[in-house]
Amino acid sequence: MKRKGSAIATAIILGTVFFIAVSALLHYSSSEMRHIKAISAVKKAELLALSGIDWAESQLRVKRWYGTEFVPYKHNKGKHDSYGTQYLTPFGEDEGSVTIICEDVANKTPGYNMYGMQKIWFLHHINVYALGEYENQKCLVYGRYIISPEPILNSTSTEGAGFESPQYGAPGAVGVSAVKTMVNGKEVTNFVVKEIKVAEHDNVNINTVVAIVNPIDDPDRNIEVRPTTFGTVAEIKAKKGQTCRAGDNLLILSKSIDAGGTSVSMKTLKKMVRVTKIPPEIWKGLDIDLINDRFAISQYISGISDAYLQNFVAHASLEKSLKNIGDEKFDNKLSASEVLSKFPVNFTSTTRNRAENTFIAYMIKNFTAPGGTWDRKEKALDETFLKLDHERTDPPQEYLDWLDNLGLTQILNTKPRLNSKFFDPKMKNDEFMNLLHPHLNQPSSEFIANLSQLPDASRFVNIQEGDFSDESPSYVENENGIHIIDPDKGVKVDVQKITKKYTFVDPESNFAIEMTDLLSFIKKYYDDDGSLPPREETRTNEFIDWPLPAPAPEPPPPAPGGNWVWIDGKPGTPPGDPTYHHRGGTDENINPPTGGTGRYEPDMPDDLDGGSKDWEIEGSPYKDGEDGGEDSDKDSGERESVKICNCNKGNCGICNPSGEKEQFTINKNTKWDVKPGTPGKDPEQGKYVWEPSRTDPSDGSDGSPGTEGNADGGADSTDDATGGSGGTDSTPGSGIDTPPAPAPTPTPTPSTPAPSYRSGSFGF
Amino acid sequence: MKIKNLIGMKYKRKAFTLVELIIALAVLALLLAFIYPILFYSRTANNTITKLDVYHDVRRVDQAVFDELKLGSGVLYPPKPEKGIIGEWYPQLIFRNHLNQIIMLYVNKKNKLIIFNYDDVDGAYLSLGKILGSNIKEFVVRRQGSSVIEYRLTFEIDKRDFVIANQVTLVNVF
Repeated sequence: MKRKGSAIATAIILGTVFFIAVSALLHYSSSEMRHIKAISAVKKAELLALSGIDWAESQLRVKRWYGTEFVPYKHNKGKHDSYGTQYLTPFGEDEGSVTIICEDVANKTPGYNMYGMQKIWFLHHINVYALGEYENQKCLVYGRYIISPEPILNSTSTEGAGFESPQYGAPGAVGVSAVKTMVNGKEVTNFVVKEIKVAEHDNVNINTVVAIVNPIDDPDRNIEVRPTTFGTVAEIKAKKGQTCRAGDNLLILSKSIDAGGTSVSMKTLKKMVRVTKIPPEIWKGLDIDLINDRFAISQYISGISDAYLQNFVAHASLEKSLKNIGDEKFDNKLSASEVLSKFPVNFTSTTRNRAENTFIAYMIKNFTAPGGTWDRKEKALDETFLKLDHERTDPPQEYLDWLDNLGLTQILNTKPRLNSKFFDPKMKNDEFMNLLHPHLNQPSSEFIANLSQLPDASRFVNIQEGDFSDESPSYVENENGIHIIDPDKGVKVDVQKITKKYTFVDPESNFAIEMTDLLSFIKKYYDDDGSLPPREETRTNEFIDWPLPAPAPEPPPPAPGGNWVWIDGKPGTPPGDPTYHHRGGTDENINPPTGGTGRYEPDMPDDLDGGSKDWEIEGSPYKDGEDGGEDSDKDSGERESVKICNCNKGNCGICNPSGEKEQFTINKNTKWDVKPGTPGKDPEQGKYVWEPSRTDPSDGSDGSPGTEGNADGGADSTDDATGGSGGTDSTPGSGIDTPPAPAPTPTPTPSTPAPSYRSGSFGF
Repeated sequence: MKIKNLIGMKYKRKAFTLVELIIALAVLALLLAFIYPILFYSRTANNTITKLDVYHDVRRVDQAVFDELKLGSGVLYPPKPEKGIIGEWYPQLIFRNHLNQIIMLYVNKKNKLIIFNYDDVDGAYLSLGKILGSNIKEFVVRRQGSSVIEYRLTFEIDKRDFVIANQVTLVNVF
C-alpha cells in the first residue's frame, strides 16, 4: 500500500509541475499580449495625433476653414473666431479618434492704411494641436503652421495679403500714381489726368513718363508721372479727363521675374514646422478645448524654442568634421573613445544674435521651394539666386553728356554698376553672403535687412543750372546721397541713393518670394517675440480691424462748366487695445531641455563677426584599452560622462557652465479679465462736390471767382514738376511691419525759372 | 511472523513478485508519460520565452529608434547620397531631433546599441550615451533623399539572427 501511494503522489507532483509550467507560459504570453496591446494603443494614439497634424496641414494649405471672410472698409468686431476645432476618426469609429484645434496667433504689430483698413492685423502663425485618443491612451502633438507673406488675420486666407488685394491683383504688381506735389509753395493732391502715354504690355522703367496730370487748380501745369520701378503695364485704370488724388493708381505694372528667359512668379510660402510631441506631464490636467490651457501649452513651446535655436549652432566642430569625413565609413562597432575622436563633441557657445543669424544663414543657403522630388531640390540648390528689384538702366544720353561736361560721371557709380554681381547674386558657394556680408553678431532684424535689400542700388539725380555764386562750393556724400554745389560751373546736383529689395528666386520650381518675407518665415521657426497669442475665443475686444473711409465711387455724370471733385473722408479712431489681467491660475516651473540657455557666453560679444567660444573635452577621458562609458558593464542608469572645458586657450580650469539652466514658467488654469480699450470712432465718409471750372469765365453761377489766369505764364516741358519717380519702391500690400514708403516729394519747381538755365532729373 | 507460522516454513524474499513488477512498470510508464511532455514542453516553452524576449527587445529598440527619428529635423551622417540614388548602408547614424539636439546611434564593441545625445550636458559634464539594446550584431542605416531614413537592426541570440527593418520619414526636416 505504501509503494502504491508513493507512485500516485509522485505523479500528482509531476502533474502539478507540468500544470504550473504551462500556466506560467500562458501567463507570460497573455502578459506579453497585454504589453503589446498597450504599446500598440500608445502608437495608435500617436499615429492618430500625427495624422491630425497632416490633416490640418492639408486644410490650411487651402484656407482656414474656421474663419470668416474679410470685407474691406467694414467693421469686423466680434465676427471672427480665433480658433477652429475638428473631430475625426480617420481609421474608423472603433479605431480611435483625433481632435484637431487650429488657433490663430496674430502678428504683434498691426498694419495701417492697408486693404481698406486704417488699422489691420496680420497672421503671424497658426498653432495646431492634435490630440490622438485610442482606448485609454492619449497623445498630444503640436505643430506650428507658418506663412509668409502674412495673410490678413481676420479672414479665412492662408495666402499672403499682398497677393489677394483686389486692387493689385497679380503677385508682385505695383501701382503707379501721382504723388503729392508742391506747386508755388502749395501742396497739390487733386489732379486731372491729361494724358496716358503708355499702352498695356509696354515695358517701362523709372525714366519712362507714363502719364501727364494737371493740378486741378492749375490746369496748365504739366506734371509727369513716372513709375518707381521697372515693369510691364498690366492695366490702365485712369482715363483722360478723369480726376484723381495723389496715391490713386493710374495704372498697374506687373513685375515678372526673369530667370534665364523663364518668367518666375511670386508665391506664398507655407509649412508645418516644429512638430513636437508634448510630454504628458506638461499637458496633464489641461484641456485643449480651452483657450487658456492652449496658452499654457504654447508657453511650453516658446520655452523650448531657446534650446531649439542654441542647439542648432552648438556643434560647429562636429559639422566641420563630418564635412571632412565625407562618405568615409567606419567599423561596424566603435568604442566610446573612438566615437569621441571621430565625431568630436566640442561645444560652441555663442551670443543669441549669432545663434539666430547662423540658423537663418544656414536655412537660406539650403532653401528651395517646398515640395517636389529630391532630384529637383538638388538641382534647384545649384540655381537659386537673389534678384535685385532694379534692372540696369542707363540715364538718357543727354544727361550722360551733361554729367560728362560737368566732370561728375562718378555719381553714376551705384553698387550694382560697380559690381554687376549685385544684380543677381547666386546662393551657391555663399556668393550672396560674400557680397552682402551681413554681420553674424548683429541683431537679427539688421541681419535680415542686410540680406533682403541693397542700399545704393539705384540713384535719383536732380541737376540744376543757375547762378549759385552766393553759395560755397561743396561736395558732401553720405549713405543717403550726394549734394554738390559748384558755383563756378553754375550747377547744383542732388543725388538720392535708393535702396532696392531682393527677391529670392528658385527657377527650377518657378518660385519666388521677397527676401524679407522668406527670412521672416525662417525666423518664425523659433521666434515668438513678434507674435501675440489670442485671449478671446471670438475677437470682440482684441485684434479689431478698423475701416478707412470708403473709396470714391463712380463720379456723377460729367457736366460742362466744372468738375466733380472728390473730397476725402476723414479717418476715424481705432479702438484702444484692451488690457488683460490674470485671474487665478498657477505658475509651473519647467526644466528646460538639454542645451539652450546658459550657452550664450561669447568671447567677443561686441565683435560684429565674432561672439563665440569653443569648449572641448578636458584631457582624454579614457586610456587605451580602458574604455569606460557605455562600454563598461554598468547599466544605463550609471552612465559615464566627460568634462567639457575651454581648453583651446590653455585655460582648462574654466568649464562649461551650461548646466546652469534657468527654468521657464508656464501658467496653467489662468482666467483672463478683459478691460476693453477706448471705443473706436467711425470714419467720416467722403463725398463729391461740384467745382466750377475757373478757366471758364461764363461759369460763375456759384459765386466762385472767375479765372485766375495763368500765373506761371505757362509751363514748358523743362519746368514740369515731376511726380512719382525715385525713392524706395513701394509695393502697397506687401509690407506688413512697415507701411510702404511714399515716393519722395519732388523738388519744388521754381516759380520763375530762368529760361537760360537747364534743369532736369533722372533715375538709373 | 504470522505468515511464517502459517505456511510453516521460513520465508526469505529474493525478488519482486510479478504484481510488484507490473505495478512498478505501470508507475514508471505513468511517470514517463508525464515527464516527457514536461521536458518537451519545457524546452519549447523556454525557446518560446526566449523568442518572445527577443521579439520584445527588438520591438522596444525599434520603437525607441523610431521615436527618436520620427520628429527629427535633419540627418548629418551618413552623407547625402548622389542625386537620385539611394545611399549606401552605414553603421552609424547622426541626426538632429525635434529640439535640434544632435543624436548619434551606433553599436559599441560589446554589441550594445548606444544612443548618444551630444547635448545631454549636466553641469560641465557630457553623458556618454545610454544603452538602447543588447545582443546587437549589426545596425546599418541608409538615406533616401533628404528626409527618409531606412535602418536595419540585427540581433543575435543563441547563434540565431533576428532582423528588423524600418523606414522613417523625418517630419521636421527643414
